[in-house]
Amino acid sequence: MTAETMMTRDPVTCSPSLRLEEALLLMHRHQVQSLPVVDDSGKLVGLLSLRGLVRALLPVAAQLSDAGLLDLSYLPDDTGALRGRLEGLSGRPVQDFLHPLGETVVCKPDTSVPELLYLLSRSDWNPPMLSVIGEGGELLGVVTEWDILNHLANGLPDSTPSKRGEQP
Amino acid sequence: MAGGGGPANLLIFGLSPFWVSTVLFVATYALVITDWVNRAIAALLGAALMISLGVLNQEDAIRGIDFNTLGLLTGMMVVVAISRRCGMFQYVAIWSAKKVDADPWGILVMLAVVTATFSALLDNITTVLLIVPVTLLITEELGVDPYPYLVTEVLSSNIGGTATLIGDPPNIMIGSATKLTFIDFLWHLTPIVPLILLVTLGAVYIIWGRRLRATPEARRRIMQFDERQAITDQVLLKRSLSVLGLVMVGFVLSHLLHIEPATIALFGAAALLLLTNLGHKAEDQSKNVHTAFAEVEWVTIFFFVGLFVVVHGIETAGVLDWLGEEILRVTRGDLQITAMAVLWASAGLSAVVDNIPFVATMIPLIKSMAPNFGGSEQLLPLWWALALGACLGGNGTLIGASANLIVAGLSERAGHRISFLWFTLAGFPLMLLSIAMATIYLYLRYL
Repeated sequence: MTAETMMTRDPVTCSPSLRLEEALLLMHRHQVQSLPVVDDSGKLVGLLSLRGLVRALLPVAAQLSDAGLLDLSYLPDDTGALRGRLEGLSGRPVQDFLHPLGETVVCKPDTSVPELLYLLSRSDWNPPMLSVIGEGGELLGVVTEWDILNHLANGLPDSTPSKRGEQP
Repeated sequence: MAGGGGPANLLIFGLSPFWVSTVLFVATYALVITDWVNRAIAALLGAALMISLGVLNQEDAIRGIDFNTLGLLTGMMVVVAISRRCGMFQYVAIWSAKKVDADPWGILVMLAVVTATFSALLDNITTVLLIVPVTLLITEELGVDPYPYLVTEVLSSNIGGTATLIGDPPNIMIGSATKLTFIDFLWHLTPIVPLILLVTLGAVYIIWGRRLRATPEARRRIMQFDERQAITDQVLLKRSLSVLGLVMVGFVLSHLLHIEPATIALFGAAALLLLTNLGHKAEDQSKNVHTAFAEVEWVTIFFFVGLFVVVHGIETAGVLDWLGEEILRVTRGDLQITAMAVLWASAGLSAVVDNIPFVATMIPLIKSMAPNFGGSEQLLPLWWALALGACLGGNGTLIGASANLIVAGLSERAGHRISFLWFTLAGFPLMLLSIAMATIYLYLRYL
């Protein structure tokens, strides 16, 4: 078996020019933590993640992952300012927030199952997700831990080859 | 001219060691300057060839390595790697911002003073790595452009680093090679440093400071910061401050105790490691010690190792003696002219190339001039000229010192690019101003 047999085809995606608030609504509706972002030709350009968005709400210095601040416990507890910040971000396009391809984990349709498990087990992505891309970089589907378990267990109860992440 | 005594008369593949070592030295320098390969690789390669081609044998090469410099650097890096985790820098930065009622210009001055002070006592890179993120946070909350703050921190870190024996690698090397003590540096170099910082801040005020404005709401936000929360680990803070304090006392008393600075720094590192690991499981201890050692900048340490060997190669082959004689011929053996030449050449070169290889070369070169000036005691003005030139020269361009590049890198990632040209436009004249002040200082005090 390979990624092609395991993957969820036609996952929920969005375009880089979509406004952030619409993308958030889409993620909320489908209860997914991350959303593949594809251009008009179906090519994967990156991923939008809730974690990335949460990070964008922080002051810039706290967004520098490795050389940033030790903590932020000394900042005043000001939810009003954060709300304002979120409103400010919501009108901007998804492309301003997406994780570029280099930061995401991708695989080919013929990637083997042990390799998929290995990639998922080492993924920093939360929850782990692999994008399956074709020769031309087009998004073919996504693979999550559930997709593999579902196949290995010959189908979990009530599981349908669903749209990824839909609530049972 | 070529040749000299001893090993320099031996032949390597029929070539004179004088020319072999010169070519290796120039090639190593070229690699370091062009950044074509990592500087540690370049220096180690040069050192290996210096030995393999017979300019030095391995024993000679090891004798050329200044382990006092390496020990001092490594020891301080370990102490800082552990103590930085307690949040002390965050605390001081926020405390100082609030002390001036979050006035934008006041904050700039305070952060400059904090940066200079920490740079004088710790290494510049750690200082800016810890100060820049807090600066970005404060300026963002204050709604002001971080650019003047970051540029001033670059300038302050190099100016502050000039002040003490442990402030900047050139001073560490000079102190180690000449047996000048921590107190000597405090007595001879520190007095001019606050003056240079003051004049630099005056210029920064004229260029940027007078236009810095923040709204009352933004200033109120800064005043709401709670700096006490910035201390992440009270116990670690106490232990770090105790060890750092004792290390500083050790440096001050090193001359009386007859203990070299490297021993004091490594003693401090061992003590802090002990304090932070006592009572932990063996596995945790191993992890903690590994993490602390991993934060040592090994690239810099190995760069030093290779460089010391390369410089010892040209020294042994008689190149530096010859160069020293040539310089004295040009300066007509006059101490005043030689000191000024050392000061201005060090500054000019340190602005565009790494000051570490330059100072490593200058130290034996200056030592070789001792007979001309009537003994090594007479060389004092030259050592201070070298220290002032090499340290302050780092402010000339964005590539003048490693700390400059660290600030530029962090700043760019935060969306505020510091361009080479714009930095040079402010940094170079300010560097020249500081060297002019150093010239007057040296002239009035020593010449």
